[in-house]
Amino acid sequence: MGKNQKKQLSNNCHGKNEPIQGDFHFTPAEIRKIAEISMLNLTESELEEIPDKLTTVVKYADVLYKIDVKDVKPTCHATSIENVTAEDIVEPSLTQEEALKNAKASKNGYFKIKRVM
Amino acid sequence: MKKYDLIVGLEIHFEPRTNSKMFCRCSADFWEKEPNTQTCPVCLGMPGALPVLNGKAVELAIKVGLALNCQIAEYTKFDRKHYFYPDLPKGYQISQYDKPICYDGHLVIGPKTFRIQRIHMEEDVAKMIHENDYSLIDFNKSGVPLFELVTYPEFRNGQDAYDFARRLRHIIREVGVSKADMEKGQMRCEPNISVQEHGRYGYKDGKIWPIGDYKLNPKVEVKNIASISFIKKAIEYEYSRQVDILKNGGKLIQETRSWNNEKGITEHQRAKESAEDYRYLPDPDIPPLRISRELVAKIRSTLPILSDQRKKFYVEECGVRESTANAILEDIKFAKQFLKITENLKASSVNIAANLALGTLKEYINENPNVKLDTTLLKSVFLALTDALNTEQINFNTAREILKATLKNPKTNFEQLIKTSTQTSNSSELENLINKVIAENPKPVADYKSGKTAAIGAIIGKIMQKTKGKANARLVQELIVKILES
Repeated sequence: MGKNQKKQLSNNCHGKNEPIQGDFHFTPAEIRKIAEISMLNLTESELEEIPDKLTTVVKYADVLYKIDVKDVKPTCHATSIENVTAEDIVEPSLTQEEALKNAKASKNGYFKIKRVM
Repeated sequence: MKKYDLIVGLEIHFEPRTNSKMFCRCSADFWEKEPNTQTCPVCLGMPGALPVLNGKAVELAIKVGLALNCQIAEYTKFDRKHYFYPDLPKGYQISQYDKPICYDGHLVIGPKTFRIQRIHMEEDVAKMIHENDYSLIDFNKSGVPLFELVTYPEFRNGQDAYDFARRLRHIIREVGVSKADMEKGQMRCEPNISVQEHGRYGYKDGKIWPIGDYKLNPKVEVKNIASISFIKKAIEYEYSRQVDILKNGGKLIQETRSWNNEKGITEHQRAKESAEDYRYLPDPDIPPLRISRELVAKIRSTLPILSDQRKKFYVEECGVRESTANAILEDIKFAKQFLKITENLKASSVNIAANLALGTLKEYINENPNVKLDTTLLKSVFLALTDALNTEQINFNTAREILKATLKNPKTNFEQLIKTSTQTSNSSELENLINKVIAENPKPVADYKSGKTAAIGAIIGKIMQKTKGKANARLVQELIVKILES
């Protein structure tokens, strides 16, 4: 692969992801952090079993690293389409009624959900 | 005692002035609109909807990047940034991760240069209201174009961060990219603040790096800063808070805090995600952009001359006082009008025009904010007045009066007025008058002779009164001094 071509490719994509190490295992602290970011409240018993289960899942996905991609060019997009833009013109929106049609609950034109903060 | 350095990087968001949203054609003007009346399947995150990038937003991103001395990427793409929060119906925000449209910029403020790491394009999120046991969501703001500018963590005090944000706001308004009204949320400033032990860290690739076995303290991001003037306060508060915790043996955590301006403190909001937690991936819905150098050149040619360069011209080439130049350039609209009005003047006339404009014209605009100025007419008025002032045909007061009359009534024959207002520069005529005034006003004369030279002002005033403001003030002063000291 020529130097320029290499540069062009690295221009197009994210850095590589590393396969996880064989002795990898989620710690309860990591699970707690993931739970907080995901806004989940975990019980103590869940906190005990989830590290094992999630570790198995993540290790399973690691099978992808076994595929030989040496000759595959990296890409971010499946098509070679580029530069698709629209003109900056306002078009009609949905009505408030239409927008809220599928909402489980609404109030004064707002979507209403369980308090999140 | 350990000494701690303050380290601040800024993340500044601003909404570009487009008509429609970033990836759909709903109106981007969400301010004070009925909730959920400007949405569609795209910005509501409904399955199967296809977002299409707003071309105008791309042009504005390039424009602001050029104004901030950035490189413009030849290849740029969009990525999905995932997080769980109901202000984002898709479960991810379309943003740019590793290929931002603008990078490596800088802003010079006085003797200091502040480096800009990147500016990228993304979409704004929905507005939420939290009440009792529920939250309300309005998706009108969801999908509104948003730019995020990130600086290097190189600010060492709150004042510099404040100066940067202020100057940045001026530039993005000046180039017309955003109205940047912080109260309307069109511009948001989020400092990332950490404290590190003096001498135990360095910079590597623009990042803070520990030296030896030193462990870096985590950074805190502060949100909800509703006004530029709060930036300095929030940073200074965080510095003391973090240093206090460390000095008391406590541990800092990476978190997002919220500025509470009433109490003058920051409050914990949430643990901060790191980049890995966002699970960034290229957005398959939005094809990448290849930006031609022709387009960049075309956009560059539309950039106005920025106020920094204009100030240099006014002060250095035209002899305008710095404070006068600042006062003119601070108000973007007025600065534009002034530029138009003075475009035909020679450099030596611009100084006079600046004084005339800042006093009389600015005053008139302030009193009549909705009036539309006839800049073509004002161009001829300023040309005639500055010529007449340069040749001492009229004095400054007369020029102000003529300008006022023309502003009030555009049909005023200002050329005729200049002719009839010609000031008296006849020495013998003025000398007679001065002798008379001296005889009638013994007190200021005595004051002057006893060394209070400022008393001459009173004598000049009397002469002006008697000549109805038409005496050549410079000549009058010369003659008074000559008479009194002979």
